[in-house]
Amino acid sequence: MKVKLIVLSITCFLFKAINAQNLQIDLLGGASASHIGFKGFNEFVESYNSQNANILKSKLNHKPLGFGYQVGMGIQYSIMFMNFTYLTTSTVPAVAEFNNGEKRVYQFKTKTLDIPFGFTIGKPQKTNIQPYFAMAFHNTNLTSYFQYTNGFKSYGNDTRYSGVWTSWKFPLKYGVRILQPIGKASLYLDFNSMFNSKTYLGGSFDESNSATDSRYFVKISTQADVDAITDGLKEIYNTRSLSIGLTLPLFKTEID
Amino acid sequence: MKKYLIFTALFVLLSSCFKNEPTKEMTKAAGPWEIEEAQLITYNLDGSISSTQSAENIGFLHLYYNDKFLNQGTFNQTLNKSFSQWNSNFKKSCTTSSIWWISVHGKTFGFGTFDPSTSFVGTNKIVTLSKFTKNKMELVSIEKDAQENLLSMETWKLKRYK
Repeated sequence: MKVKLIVLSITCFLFKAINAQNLQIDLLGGASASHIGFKGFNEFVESYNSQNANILKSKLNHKPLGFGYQVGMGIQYSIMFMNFTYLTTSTVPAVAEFNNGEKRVYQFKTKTLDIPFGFTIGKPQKTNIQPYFAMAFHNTNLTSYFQYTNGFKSYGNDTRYSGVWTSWKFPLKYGVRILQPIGKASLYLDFNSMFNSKTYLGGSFDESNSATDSRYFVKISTQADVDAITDGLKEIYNTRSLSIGLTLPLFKTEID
Repeated sequence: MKKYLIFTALFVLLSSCFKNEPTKEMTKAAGPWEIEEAQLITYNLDGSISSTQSAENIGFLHLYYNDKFLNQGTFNQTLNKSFSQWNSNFKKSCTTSSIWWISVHGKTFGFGTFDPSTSFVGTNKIVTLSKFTKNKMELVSIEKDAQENLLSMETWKLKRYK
């Protein structure tokens, strides 16, 4: 119901805005930092380190912080606005080094198309605030490879944790943007977060790359834990992002 | 008119950020390939190279992308007689498989079997795609022993057959 209301609001907004006289279209772009909260993966990392403690030179050190960029366009009509932004994030690779020099590497990468929809508080000529709700198309990939001492990075099934796991979800988000006009452009600071929702990391891509392999994200303390999950791991994860950038007016009609 | 054009251009730009990647990779790989060269390096337990052998003009691999729902395809191969002496687990996996797939982002290439009555996919081998362009592909298969020691690394270099 919530989604239907948002879609209906966006459709009405676009229909009204595209025919309006006081319409402004902006380009926006900037840098972003994101927190990718993945509780199940953290548990996996802990158990991996504990299971391999005697053969690890340095432990797997996962930090759920990623960096990337944001680009998009904004449509403003009166005090209402709607944006289309593409946000990409890559975490710093988590690396475990074994005593013999071989390495295990994990890296999260996310791509999100956000469609925030909200209104402006304050005058456009001064610092103003834009609270919003957003629909999003969110894609997470977890890449894992094993690096041999000769430098070769293997993604194949010669080791059990290698591969690329992927998931899609369509979360609702909330956020706020602060804009500071600088000449014709505006500097913005944007914070947004997902409402918690469960999703499978693994999706339904195919046998070897998805659901059955995602069992590896559970802690590996006992074989029973591994066997218990055969349909993929349903995990709650949440991404929070902070972006800073510029908006530039691309098109503007006269105000009524 | 100008605003409609701007809308259209930006929508196309943003939507291109979310291409269906498995479909994109599978489409890129589909078609005939010539296996130009195979190289097999075996290793000692201390990680040093034990032996190297190679073969050229091995044959052809025809990849058909005929299941866009499951993102997998069938394939057939024509291996030259000269390659019959080549003995490796990778070759065995390839010759006993009937389907292939490429993972999202084009990092791995899988060989397996498919049972249409149960839709069960059996995985025979997943190898690393170390090079993957429209005209060149390089598959690398690793073998290890039970103690996880590196035994061999086999590379197949393929060229698009036109």
